[in-house]
Amino acid sequence: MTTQRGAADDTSVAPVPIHPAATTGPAGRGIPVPRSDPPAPVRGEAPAAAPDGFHRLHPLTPFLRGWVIVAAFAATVGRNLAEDVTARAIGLTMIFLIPAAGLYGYTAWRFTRYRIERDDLRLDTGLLVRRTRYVRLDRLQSVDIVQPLLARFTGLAILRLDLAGREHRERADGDGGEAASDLRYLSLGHAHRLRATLLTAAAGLGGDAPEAPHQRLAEVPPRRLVAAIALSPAPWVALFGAVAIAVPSLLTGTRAGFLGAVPLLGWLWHRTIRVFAAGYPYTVSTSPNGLRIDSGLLERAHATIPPGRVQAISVVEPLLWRPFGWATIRMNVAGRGPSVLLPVARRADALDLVGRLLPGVDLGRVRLDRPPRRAVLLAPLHWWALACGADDAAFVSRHGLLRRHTDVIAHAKVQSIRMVANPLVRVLGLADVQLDTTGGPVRVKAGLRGREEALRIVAAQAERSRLGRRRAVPGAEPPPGDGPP
Amino acid sequence: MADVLLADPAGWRVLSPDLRRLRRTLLILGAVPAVVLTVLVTVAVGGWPWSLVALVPLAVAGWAWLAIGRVCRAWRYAEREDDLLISRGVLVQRLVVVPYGRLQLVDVTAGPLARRFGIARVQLHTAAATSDAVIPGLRPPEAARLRDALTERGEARSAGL
Repeated sequence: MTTQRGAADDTSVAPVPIHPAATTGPAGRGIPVPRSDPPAPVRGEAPAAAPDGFHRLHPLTPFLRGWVIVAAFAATVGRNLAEDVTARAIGLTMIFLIPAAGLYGYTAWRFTRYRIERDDLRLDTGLLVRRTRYVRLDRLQSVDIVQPLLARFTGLAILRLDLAGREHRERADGDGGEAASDLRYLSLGHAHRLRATLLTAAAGLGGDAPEAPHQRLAEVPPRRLVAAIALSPAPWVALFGAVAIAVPSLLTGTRAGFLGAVPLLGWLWHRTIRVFAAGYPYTVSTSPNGLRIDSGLLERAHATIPPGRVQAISVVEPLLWRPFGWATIRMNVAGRGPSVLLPVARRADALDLVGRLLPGVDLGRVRLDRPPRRAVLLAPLHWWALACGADDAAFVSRHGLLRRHTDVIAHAKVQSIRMVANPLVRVLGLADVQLDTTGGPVRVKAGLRGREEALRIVAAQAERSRLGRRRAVPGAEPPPGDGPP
Repeated sequence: MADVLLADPAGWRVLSPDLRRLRRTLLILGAVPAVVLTVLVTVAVGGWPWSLVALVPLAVAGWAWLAIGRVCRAWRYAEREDDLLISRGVLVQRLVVVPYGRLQLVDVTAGPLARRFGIARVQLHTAAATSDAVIPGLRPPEAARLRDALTERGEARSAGL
């Protein structure tokens, strides 16, 4: 336990010289890792492994976690401000609260350790209830580095491990949930190295590897992002709403109106400044480890999605963006990956990206068919936007009059196919077809097709998905008795 | 209803009639007290003519009795070479195609009451939370056979994510 220090030590104090070899993997196999893309200057040093190969989180962790408790307390006080809370009461509470928060943070840190084993990342947590979690490396969907603002000031980062089928498991064990397999906090440099190691292990290569070189695919120019925000309705609704509430109260001289405008101003902030801070700078690049998304002005997020984990993609074109040919690209990733691929992109770039992520898919080439005429009765306006079609690579469906969605799913990624006919559409002899994918913002649905046509779509899609899956797994044996068509 | 999907209509399998028996038993267990209670309350409050109000729960129960029969008859499944079809629903009709290669796990459950009636429920899970593939009333040997067949084919045709 060479790095075990008092929680009060500062990062700049490094009492023990730390060998870089001990940081990258088990049993000191590591080599000093060259990085092609040096991230932000690395301040905190990586923790050395204990003799048994276990690592600790960064010693500043208790401060960042204890801070949350203090902030929660401050928020409670703020809410109860109406009642008279004396400074003495606050001070007294703080005297008890701060050591308690510190003690909690320290013990949580002291009893959390992790180790990379042959096939797993082992994570031990808990003082009273000891829990050991084995994260299967070959089940890793993506490994993200997230830096909330406070962590960014201190040069720390959260390493977020995403696993397939989280929803199931979270319901099953019901503990910890979201944060259960996050490593928080590590120094940024160590987080980058550990991520590279985990991703290579997840790709089945084993051993240690430098962070893979990457090639830039797309980024968001700030001017386009600002224009896109200005062209979306939500900020204007919020702004005019706030003005409409605040002005009368200003004229009559009451202050109550201002309080009414506060939530709307909050919404305005959320839809303008926050959207901008999340969308600029925003870079999408490819690397052998998969797709990389680096984003965020204040809170940086670095997400890596291994190849083939993108399940479905949606290109969304709001009405006001269409004259400029802009679109938002959203996607479903197996696990808890990011759901936005690009906040604003030119349509041509969007189609190009879709083709890269779902190989063989050319959105412009797929022929889309409208639903039958009689469906107008159920969809008098958006009938004109509804369409669906498929080629031999993907199924495409379009919907939405004001916000036009073009949803794409590669045949091999279809989890199940459903046809649903509720009484309303059944009267007209129609049915909806839905292609299920893993959770995310994209729902692929071919609405209001004729009943016979819907059945044909289901049957044809079952066949296309079968062939798609077979192509996706070259090693798999073809089922006996049916050759390629 | 799905001739395009299944050339041979005889490929469809139906649920065990014990499911209908179980659901109707539960219905009676609920309906009899409801009718008796309505009669007692109305007679106590308003006199004999008011007991006709009890016809309402009786009618509802009768409708439910018929509905259970139709729902159970409409619920069918068929094993194709590469996927499982489940067709169900009377009012809202649904047809689900679950490829074997996409199965993540197969649950077989049988509560105490279901065990008394000799039925089990098979639920298929894929990576999509929205795949809604349930077969509620199977005899335990058939449920076990289906589970084994599904997992075996799932392994043979497994295709990552």
